[in-house]
Amino acid sequence: MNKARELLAEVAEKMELPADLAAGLPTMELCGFREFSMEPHGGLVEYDRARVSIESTLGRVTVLGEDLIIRRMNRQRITVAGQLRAVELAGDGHG
Amino acid sequence: MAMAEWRGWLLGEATLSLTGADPAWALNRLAAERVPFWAIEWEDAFTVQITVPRSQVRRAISAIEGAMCQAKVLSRRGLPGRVRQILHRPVLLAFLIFNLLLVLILPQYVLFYQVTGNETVPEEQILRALSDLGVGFGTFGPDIKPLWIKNHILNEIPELQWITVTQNGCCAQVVVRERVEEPQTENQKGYGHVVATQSGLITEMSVLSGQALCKVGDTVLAGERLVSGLVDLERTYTLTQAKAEIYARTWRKGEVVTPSAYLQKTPTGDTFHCLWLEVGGRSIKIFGNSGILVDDCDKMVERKPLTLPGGLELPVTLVLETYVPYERHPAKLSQLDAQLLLEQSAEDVVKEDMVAGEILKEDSTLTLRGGVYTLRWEMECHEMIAKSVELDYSEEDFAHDGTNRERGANGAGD
Repeated sequence: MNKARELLAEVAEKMELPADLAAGLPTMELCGFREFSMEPHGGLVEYDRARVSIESTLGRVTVLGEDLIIRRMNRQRITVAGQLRAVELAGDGHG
Repeated sequence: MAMAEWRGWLLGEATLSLTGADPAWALNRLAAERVPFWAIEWEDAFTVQITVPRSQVRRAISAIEGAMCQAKVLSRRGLPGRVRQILHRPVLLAFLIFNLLLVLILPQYVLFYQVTGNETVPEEQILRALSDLGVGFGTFGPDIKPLWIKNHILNEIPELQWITVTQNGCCAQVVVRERVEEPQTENQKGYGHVVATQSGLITEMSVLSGQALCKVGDTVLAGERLVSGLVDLERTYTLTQAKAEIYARTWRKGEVVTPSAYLQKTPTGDTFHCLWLEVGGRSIKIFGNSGILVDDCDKMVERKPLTLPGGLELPVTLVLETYVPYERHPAKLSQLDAQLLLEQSAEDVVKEDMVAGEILKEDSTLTLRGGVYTLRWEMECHEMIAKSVELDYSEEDFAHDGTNRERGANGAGD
């Protein structure tokens, strides 16, 4: 995450403002172990039945599991469904 | 999911296949350009199938090709495609529109009529009366006014008590109720005598009311009073309606005539046919000569209406007219034929004149004079001769001394 975004995130935290709106941080939702959604996203990087990588403002988010499919995808939100096993967060985002 | 399928069918959708080194890049481009897509299926690392709205196919292909991938349309589905297919088939389109108009417009016109509730009044008479009022084949349904029809039809056909017409699509139900005739009852307050219709010898007698003035074995003349409505009760008189059944043996005679010469029809051997098609009230000639004069022809008409399964008659009838021309030749009536003809005629006259009874014996003589056969006949009959007449009386009717000695053996009024 770049410094400007870090600063925004800290300010938002201290002022008790929603960080996703104030600093543009992505919101991730996990519905059971079957569905993962993220908004906003920076595009699909990699797709595999066992591994889906999505770019975000914070870095790369990788969803691991089995029989993974992209259920929905538009400019803002992406939904991955299947038998989820793990979600990896890797820093050094492009934002 | 079902809702999405319906929406896709209504708006139309297409399935595309992306093939490239990085299909994910193509999906990102589609998302960036706000091209909606769904049903993402990864066939392998380089091929993805997606579904896009039919209206967005060109934009989707453009975005995919911009991501260095190839796009191929696998299938198109939905209502807009079907409509486009139909528009390219004008005959089918015209047929569909024609059927739609038939379904919407035709049921507003009445083509068939079913009459129910009639027992003695013929159905044809009712339908003809309706036709005279303008209610027939092809009448516009909303123009049928049941109350107006009832007011006019009941004047036309007095045997009906009530009528209504209700429309059900192309069929109209005509429901009628016939007038119930009041049974004729005897006029208990009337007075009358019983007189003889014919002269004869009384053989049977049954007096129901009144005072009998004759008995079995008496000879009576036509018009003679047989049972009196003026009853002598010794000290007074009473009036009543005399009723009796009196049978007598009668003798009748008369004569009937017929000419000896007549014109006999002889067919020429030819036969002509004329075939017509009647649709509604119009006749269309199919073949034949319709100008044949009927004067020298026997005409037979055979009608075959077109009937649907279930008995519903269409207003389409095949009419076959057959003409058999003949020639007239003068012929002579033989004596035997003349006798048979005249005897039958005489019997018919006597039977029609009798109230009830039978002919016991008949005798006749046939003569031919001046080209005319004359049959003089005499018949012995056993018939009912009692007839009721209005009461009339004179001073002679009150000439009795009140002791009933004029009363007969079968008299009533005791």
